[in-house]
Amino acid sequence: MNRLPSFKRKSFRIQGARNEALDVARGRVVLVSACFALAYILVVARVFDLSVIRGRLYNTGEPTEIVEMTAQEQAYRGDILDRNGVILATSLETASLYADPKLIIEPTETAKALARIFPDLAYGDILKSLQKGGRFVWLKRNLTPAEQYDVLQIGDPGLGFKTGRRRIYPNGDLAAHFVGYTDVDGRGLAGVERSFNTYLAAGEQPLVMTLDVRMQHILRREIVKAVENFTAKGGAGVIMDVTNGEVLAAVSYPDFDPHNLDVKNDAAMFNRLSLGTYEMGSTFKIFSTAAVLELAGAEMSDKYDAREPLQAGRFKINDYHAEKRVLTLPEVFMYSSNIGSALMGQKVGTEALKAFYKDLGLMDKIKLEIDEVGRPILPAVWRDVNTLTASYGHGIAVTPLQMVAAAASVVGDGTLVKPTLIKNNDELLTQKGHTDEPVIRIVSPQTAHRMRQLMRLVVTDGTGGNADVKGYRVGGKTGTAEKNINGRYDRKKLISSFLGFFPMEAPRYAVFVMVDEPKGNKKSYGYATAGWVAAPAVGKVVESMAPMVGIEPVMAAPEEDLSASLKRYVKTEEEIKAEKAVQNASY
Amino acid sequence: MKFLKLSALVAVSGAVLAGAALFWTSQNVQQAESRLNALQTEIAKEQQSIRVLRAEWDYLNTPERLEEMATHYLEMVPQEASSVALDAAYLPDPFIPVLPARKPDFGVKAQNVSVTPAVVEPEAKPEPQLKEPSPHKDDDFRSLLDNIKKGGE
Repeated sequence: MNRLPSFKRKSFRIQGARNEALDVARGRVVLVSACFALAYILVVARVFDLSVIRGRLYNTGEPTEIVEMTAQEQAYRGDILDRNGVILATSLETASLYADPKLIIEPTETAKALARIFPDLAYGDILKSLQKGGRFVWLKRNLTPAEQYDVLQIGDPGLGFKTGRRRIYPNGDLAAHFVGYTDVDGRGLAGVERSFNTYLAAGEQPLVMTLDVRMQHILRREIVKAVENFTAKGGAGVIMDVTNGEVLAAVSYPDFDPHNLDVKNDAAMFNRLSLGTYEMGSTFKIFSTAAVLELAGAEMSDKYDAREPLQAGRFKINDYHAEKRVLTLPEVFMYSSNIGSALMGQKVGTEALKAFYKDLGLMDKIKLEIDEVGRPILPAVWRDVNTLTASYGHGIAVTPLQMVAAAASVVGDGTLVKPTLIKNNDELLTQKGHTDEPVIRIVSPQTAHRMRQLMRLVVTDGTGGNADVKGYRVGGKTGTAEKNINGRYDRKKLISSFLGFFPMEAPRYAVFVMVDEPKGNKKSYGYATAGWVAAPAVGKVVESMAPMVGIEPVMAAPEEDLSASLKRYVKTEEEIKAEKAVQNASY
Repeated sequence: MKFLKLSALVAVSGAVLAGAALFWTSQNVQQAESRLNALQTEIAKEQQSIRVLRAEWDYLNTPERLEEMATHYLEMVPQEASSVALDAAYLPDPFIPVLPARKPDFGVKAQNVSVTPAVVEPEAKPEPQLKEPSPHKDDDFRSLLDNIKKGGE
């Protein structure tokens, strides 16, 4: 307390003008320090606000921002999943092994150890590269984690790893044509890998396909069996949900391993199901029959004269399973009479049949979420003879997938079915042009019902008997088409296919199997027609998949069957014999 | 000692304290950062192995492999339509419980333990007998089912 009096004493000494100057200076000092004090108070207040008040308010959540930032810079290419979440394609970090020969201590020992880990590498080759000059040599690309661990166990300082991303397809060749594949840099080159490249590259969400690996396996297994049993060139098939067009399984065989591409192998790389176009043959009778029922008001009792081959210009239309008599409409369908179907096409008329096929989407390239979609091959000029041939599936080549979708439209509830491979959200679908389009009616429910009965009849009494599976009410249509080689139809080169639906009274699934150039074997008594090649395969597929999808078997008596009401239009063998006898007697 | 005034002392010690606090904080931040980095690397590693394991899981569960394994190691066959019971009436006869003819014998040790029964046992219960299933049993079951069906409708 002795400072203040002295300070006062001093102030006493200064007086007058000097004292005034001192007052001004003191005032300025006070002002400046007040400014500083204020600034500090502001800083303190702000710090308190940030650390205590806001800290409490916002510190409840997790510090997500930082983690996301680091994750984003190395986003993986999106996964491709099947409808049950099974991985069809994913990206993994894989290590590739290289060596620095200068740092290798014991080349022989190391080479021995490496040859043990990689049975596909020869000891001599490894040793040679380890003893080479230079400072870098690749030994093995894309190691599995287990292999990498084994290599680390060798502990040679001359061995090193470089990591990179690699696309992995755990299901291998199972749906290779539709999943597709990528190049080394991870750009999609085929299938949905290609068509959804931008979406997958963004890597935010997995792409969910409509495929089901279990059904894919069943279908592929049966197609492979059929192709091998009948030493065929290849095959294709599809399982489709009739109610919404979702493709549950899609097979084109031979196929390829997406990890190990052989791009020059055209037969394997070619997508027969959606890119290849074929003259499908008798399966097209589904459409001509539906057209005659829907547009020409045909009745089940209508008769078609199939006694003589039909002459159309310079063409002669023959029956494969010739009955050589007057057939009713159900008989034409179940015995697959070309003459009868051509007559149906004639009855419908060229313009009406063309319009009907166009409505079914058989005349244009269909919309599908992959780029490998074929454009149908139509006659350059559509004459009346083309109407006749198109009625039984010749002179018009379409993709098998397109035909299955069209048949599903006729047999389902009569509205257009659009095939789809992607089960993701609506945003994705609109992006690919699949907006919520209005329901397009193709045939009346009555016609659809008639078609179901007819297709059931084919299996119970007609050409498709081998597709029947007890309890699951399979219906369908066989199709045996001769291949057109350089403008001539080759009787030896067939496309045998069967298009089945089940359960027939309310079709839920379409199962289609096509075999390219089958050759008859002992079991089929030398036949290579659809009834012997494709129909049994479809039967096997239905047998395997029906319990899986939970379809309840029904053991109905034959007279309760869907096709029972058509039986009275079908002549029994005795009746045919009697009829023939009467004819012979009259001659 | 004039320069060592109280205010100066306070200011200097305040500065030293602030410096120490700053050093402590910055050390903490550095440690937290390195820990964060380590954790993030670990998370990335774990995520990486999760990806690998998920892919491996689906690889090992490919239908082709499962089918092969099942035919090799399991005595199971694919389900057929004929193996599905469509009508409860076709089910085999209802299970007849096999009752022991006598009270079970618990052996010597159990006999030595004296147990006071909580309730006095009733006299001479008729012993449960194994009966042959009556021929009407099946019909009874069906009529029961019919009743249930009627009730359900």
